[in-house]
Amino acid sequence: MEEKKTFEHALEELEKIVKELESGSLSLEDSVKKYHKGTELAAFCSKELKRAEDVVVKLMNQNTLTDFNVVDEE
Amino acid sequence: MERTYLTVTALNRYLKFKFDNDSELKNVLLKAEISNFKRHSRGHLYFTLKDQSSQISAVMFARETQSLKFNPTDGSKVIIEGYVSIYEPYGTYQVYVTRMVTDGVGDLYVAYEKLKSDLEQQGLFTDLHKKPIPLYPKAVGVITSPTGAAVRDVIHVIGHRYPLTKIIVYPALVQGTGATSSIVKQIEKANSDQLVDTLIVGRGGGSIEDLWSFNEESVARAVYNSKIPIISAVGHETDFTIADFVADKRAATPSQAAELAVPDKRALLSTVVDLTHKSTILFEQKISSLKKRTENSTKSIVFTDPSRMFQTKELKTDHFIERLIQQSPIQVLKKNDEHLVEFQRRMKYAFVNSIRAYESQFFRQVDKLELSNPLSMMKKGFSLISKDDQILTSVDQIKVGDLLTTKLKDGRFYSVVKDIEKGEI
Repeated sequence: MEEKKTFEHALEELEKIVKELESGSLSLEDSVKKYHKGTELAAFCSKELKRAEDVVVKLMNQNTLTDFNVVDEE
Repeated sequence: MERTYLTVTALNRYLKFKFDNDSELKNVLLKAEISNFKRHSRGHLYFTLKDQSSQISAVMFARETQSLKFNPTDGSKVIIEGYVSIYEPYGTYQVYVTRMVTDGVGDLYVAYEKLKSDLEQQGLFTDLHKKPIPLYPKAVGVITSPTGAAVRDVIHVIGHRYPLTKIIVYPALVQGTGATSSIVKQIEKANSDQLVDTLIVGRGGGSIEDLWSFNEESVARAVYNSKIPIISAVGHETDFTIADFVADKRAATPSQAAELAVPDKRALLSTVVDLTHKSTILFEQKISSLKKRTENSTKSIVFTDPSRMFQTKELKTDHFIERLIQQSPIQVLKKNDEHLVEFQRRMKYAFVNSIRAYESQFFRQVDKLELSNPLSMMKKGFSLISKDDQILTSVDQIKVGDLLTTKLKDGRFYSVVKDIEKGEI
């Protein structure tokens, strides 16, 4: 893959590729390319979704971000 | 003078009539403290309203209690609205409460309603100003108490739904003195930091006083001015705070705000799976349609039986060759030969035929000749008469006294003409 992709862009591109494949107007070469790209994107999306298990939480404190740990009031 | 005695029922009914028709008692506004508070199993509230020196019974029916914004208890200072009437069976009078708010909050309600209508008129609530909430935020800011249940709920929900996002907590006081300015300050800070795509501003549930900061004009304006979309999350299911009206989206609780802020990982995964599946199907369809087109072409006889493509040409060629062969000198000669032979044959045939015709004609003539042969006539008794070797055919050729020779089939005799008669025989 090229530059660092965000999940959102990957998903959008995947949706675009499906639309293009749906149009049926692609040449064989393009179809192969797009399909290949689509599978890559889908893999990337799945990986991204599965990757982050824990959400990163930071506390904005006096202009600096510090790690944040939830403290229950109880 | 006769005295009239009333029944107790009649008296109480009369008193009730008097109470109910008294304009002052029909609509009573009271400031008091609650004591002897009892909640009936059917939802009606029974209590005593008192001040330092007096008290009166009061009832609030279940259907009226739905408008309550607080949980009344003994000692609650309240402002009530209602009417005074008689309960006939007991002959007691009491206040029937239709509306009750905690004392001091009454002023807040007035302020709330005024601010709400002012801001509404100024257009702060219109959908036109509402910004869309980003679908896939990279970071979500949470402006709330860093120690409350609200922040924990938001982190929990976002962590479950969409851990791809980052959460930045902007700690703020959310109740008491300083809460309003603290919230405003953090909204502004988040906007200047520009680290987050969406802001959740809120707190967990609480009393109307607890939530009051979210009804302050300065908070409303800060929410309105925020360039970052804001989801308000003031934990109160039924009531709207002013902040809720101004916010780009309103959530009833912090958890719900978190759900509105980020997509659900599982839904996204299934979308990705669907899209992958769809693209695979589309791709396979594409391939199979191309394959079919290819097959249609390869199935053409041109490929399946190439010889057939040349067959017609071969036939043509053969035809030409044949014609060419026929035109070759040998063939021409041969053909001519054949013609000659045929001609000879035909000539011969014609010749033979004509010979035969002549033959038969000849024989017919011979027959005829035979018939006319004098000799054969003589055989039948005819005779040939001549004079001086001249065959006689007429009596004019002779005269009396002429010597005639008569030939019969077996000899001749000579005679002299004695008489001549001309005419029919």
